[in-house]
Amino acid sequence: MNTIKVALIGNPNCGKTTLFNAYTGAKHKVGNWPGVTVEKREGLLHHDGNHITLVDLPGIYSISPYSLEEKLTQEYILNYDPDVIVNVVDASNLERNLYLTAQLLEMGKPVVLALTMVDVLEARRITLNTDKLSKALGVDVVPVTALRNLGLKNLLHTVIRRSKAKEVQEPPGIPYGELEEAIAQVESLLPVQEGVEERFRRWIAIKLLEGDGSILQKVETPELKALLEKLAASGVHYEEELAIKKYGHVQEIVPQVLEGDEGREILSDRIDRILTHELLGIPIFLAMMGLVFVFTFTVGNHFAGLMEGFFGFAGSFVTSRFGAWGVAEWMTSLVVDGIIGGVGGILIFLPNIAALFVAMSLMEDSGYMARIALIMDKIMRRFGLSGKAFIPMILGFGCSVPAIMTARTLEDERDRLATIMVTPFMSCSARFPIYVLFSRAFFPGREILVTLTLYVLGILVAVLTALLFKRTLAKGEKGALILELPNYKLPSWKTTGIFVWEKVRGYIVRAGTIIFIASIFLWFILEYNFSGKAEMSASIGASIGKAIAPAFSPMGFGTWEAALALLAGIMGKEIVVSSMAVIYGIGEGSLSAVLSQVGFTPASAYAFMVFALLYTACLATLGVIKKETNSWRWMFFAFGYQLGVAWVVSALIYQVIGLFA
Amino acid sequence: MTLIDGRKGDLATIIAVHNDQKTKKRLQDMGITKGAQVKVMSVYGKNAYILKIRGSRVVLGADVAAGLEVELDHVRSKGEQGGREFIRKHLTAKK
Ligand SMILES: Nc1nc2c(ncn2[C@@H]2O[C@H](COP(=O)(O)OP(=O)(O)OP(=O)(O)O)[C@@H](O)[C@H]2O)c(=O)[nH]1
Repeated sequence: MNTIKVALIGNPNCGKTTLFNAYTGAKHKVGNWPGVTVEKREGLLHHDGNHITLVDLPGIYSISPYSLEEKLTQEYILNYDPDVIVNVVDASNLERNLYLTAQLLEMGKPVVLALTMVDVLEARRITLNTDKLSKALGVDVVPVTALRNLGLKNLLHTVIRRSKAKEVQEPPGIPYGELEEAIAQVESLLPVQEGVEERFRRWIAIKLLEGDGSILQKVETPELKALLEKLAASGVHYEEELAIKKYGHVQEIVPQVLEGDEGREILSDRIDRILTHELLGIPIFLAMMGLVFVFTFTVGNHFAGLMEGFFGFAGSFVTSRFGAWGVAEWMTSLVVDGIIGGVGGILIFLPNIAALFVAMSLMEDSGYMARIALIMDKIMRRFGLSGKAFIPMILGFGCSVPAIMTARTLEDERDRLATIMVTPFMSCSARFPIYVLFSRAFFPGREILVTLTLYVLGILVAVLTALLFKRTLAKGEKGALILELPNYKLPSWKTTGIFVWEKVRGYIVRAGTIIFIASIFLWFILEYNFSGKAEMSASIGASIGKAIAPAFSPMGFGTWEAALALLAGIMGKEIVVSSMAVIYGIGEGSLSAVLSQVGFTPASAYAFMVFALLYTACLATLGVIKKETNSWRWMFFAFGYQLGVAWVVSALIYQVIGLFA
Repeated sequence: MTLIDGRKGDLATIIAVHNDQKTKKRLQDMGITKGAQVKVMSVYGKNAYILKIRGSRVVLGADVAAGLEVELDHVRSKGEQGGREFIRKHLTAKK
C-alpha cells in the first residue's frame, strides 16, 4: 500500500500545530505567538485504508531561503516532494496568508487550502465565501476548527481525493503584467534537466528573478547568469515588483470573498490600547510577572505541603514495615534514604512546577507573549538585543532547553548566539526546589522575597552577559524589530491542559528515571568505598566531594556534601536537592531543619543559592547549546563561562555579606 | 516624510521602501510593500510603531520605520494628534 505524504504549510501562528495534534493525537506545543514550532514533525494516520504521513513544518511567511525556517520548508518541498500540500490559512488574516498561498500555487504542486480561525471571523460578523475563494484560487478550500474537531474528516477526504486525482491542478497564474517579458526571457534560457519539467519552469524563472541563490546553483548556465545580471542592472527591482504583483493579485481576491465590516475596531486593538500603552505597558508587565511568581509560590506551596506530609509518612511507614519484616538494614536505607528521600524530595515540588507552567501557558496562549517582545524592546536594545530575544528568556523561566530552541526565531545570527548564551541564566523551574529548600531553612517568613532576589539576579546577569557579548564576540548591528502581534484570544483549556500535563509528566518521568538512578547511585557511593561498606565520611562520594570542596570555601560552603550535591546537579538542577536529601537523609526530620546543623549560615546558604542559579546549565541544556550553535566550542565556552560567573558572583556576594554581618 | 513622523491614527500609503535587502524582504512578508496602505495604531515609546497592515498588526522598530517613505492619505486634524502632543500641549498651556 502506498502512503500519501502530506505537508502542513502556513504562516506562523496560523494553527498548523493545532491541526497536526488534532489528527495525530500528538501533544506538540501550541502557543499564540509566531514561532512556536521550530522543527519538522511527522505523524502517521490511517483513513479509509490510506496511510498518510503528515508533516508539520515551522511557520513561514514566504517561500525563500532567507531564514532557517524558510530554508527548511523550501528544501522539504523540493527534496521530499509531498503528494499534497495542505496550506493552512488563517481566515482572520486572509490577505497576508494568501500571499504565501500565491507562492505555493506557483510551485505547481497539488495544494489544498485549510481555513482556520473561521470562528474568529464569525465573532467579527464577517462571512467568508469558501466557494468563491476556491474558484478564484483554483484549489479546494476546506474550513476547519481543529480545537473543536470540526471539518477534519472533510479535509482528509479532500486531501486523499487530491492525491489520487490524475489531472494536474492548474490554478490561474498570477498576472505579472510588465514583468512577464523578463520572466519569459529567463524561462527560455532554463536548461532542460531533471527538476526543470514544464510545469516548474515558470516558478523557477520567477525564483531566479527574485534572486534565489540556492535555486540558481541547480540550474546555472553562463547565458542564464549573464541575463540575470543584465536584468538586475536594468534598474527594476524584480524581487520587490514581483512581491507587489503577488499582493495585488491577492488584494483583488479578498474583497470578493469576505463580506462584512472589516474596518471595525476589533477587540484585540482595544486590549492593546491598554496592555501596550506607553506608560502602562511596563508596569502591567511587571505586575503580571509578579503575579505569576506569587501564584507559583503560594498555590504551589499549598499543595506541596500535602505532598511533603505524604512522603514523610511513606518514609516512616516503610521503615517500620521493613523493620517488622526483618528486611536488611541496607535495603531499608536504600529505599528510605535513597529512593523516597531523593525522588520524593523532588516530587514535592510538582505542584509549584505545575502552577508555574499553568501561568506560562496562559501567557503564551492568550497572545501576550508577542507584546512582551514589544514592551521590552526599548530596554533590551540598551543591552544590544532586540525585544524578540526576550521571548526565549521568559520561556527560560520554565525550561532552558525549549527556550534556547526558540531563539531560532531571531533573524540575526549574532543576536541568536547571544540569546542562546544568556538564556541559561534565567532561573528555570528546576532551580526552584533549591530556593525553596534553602530559603525555608534560613529565611523563614521571607522565602518569597529571597527567591525573588535570585530571579532578579538571574535576569541581571543575563542582560549584562548580553551586553558583554554584543560588545565583543557577537558584535554587530542590532536586529531590526519586525514583529507580528497576533490576535488576543481566550486561552483554551485543551491547549493549557495538554501543555501543563506534558510538563508535569516530564517532571514525573525525570523523577522516576534520572533522579531515581542518580539517587541510587549517590546512595551507593555514599555507603561504600573501594574496600566495602564504609562510614559516609569515608565513602567514595565523600572523597569526590572533598576533592572539589576547597573550590567553594570562598563562598562559605566548602563542605564535601555541598560540593558533591552541586557536582551531581550538572545532570539536572533538581538533583542538587535530591542529592542533599540522600546525603543528609530526611528520615530524622525535614531537610530544611538539617541544613542549619551542617554548617550552613544564612550568608553561605544565600551564596549557595546564587551559585546554584548561575553555574553550569544541566547536561540537556549543554546538549541543546551544542545542537543550536552547531559547535562544540560554543558549548564548552558556555560551560566555562557559566561556571566562572557563578564562582565570581557567589564569592563576591558571600564576602560582601561578610563585611556587613 | 518617512513613517518615523507617523502619529497615532495616521493613515498613509507607502511610496518607497529604502531599507536594506534583508529587511525589505521581511517587510514584504508582513505585507509592507510599495503601494500598501498602513494605519498607525500607536507609537510605543518613540521607538516602536504598531501598524495595521492588510488586516494584521505589525510592530516596526524606529530604525525600520525610518526607511519607509510614506504619504499621508489625509490632512491631520487636531483631533488626530497623538497623545504625546496632546499632553505636551495641554500641560504647557497650563503653565
Ligand atoms: N479561535 C481559534 N483559534 C485557533 C484555531 N486553531 C488554532 N488556534 C489557536 O491559534 C494559536 C496558534 O496555533 P498553533 O497551532 O500553535 O499555530 P502554528 O501555526 O503551529 O504556529 P507556529 O508554531 O508559531 O508556526 C493557538 O493559540 C491556538 O490555540 C481555530 O480554528 N480557532
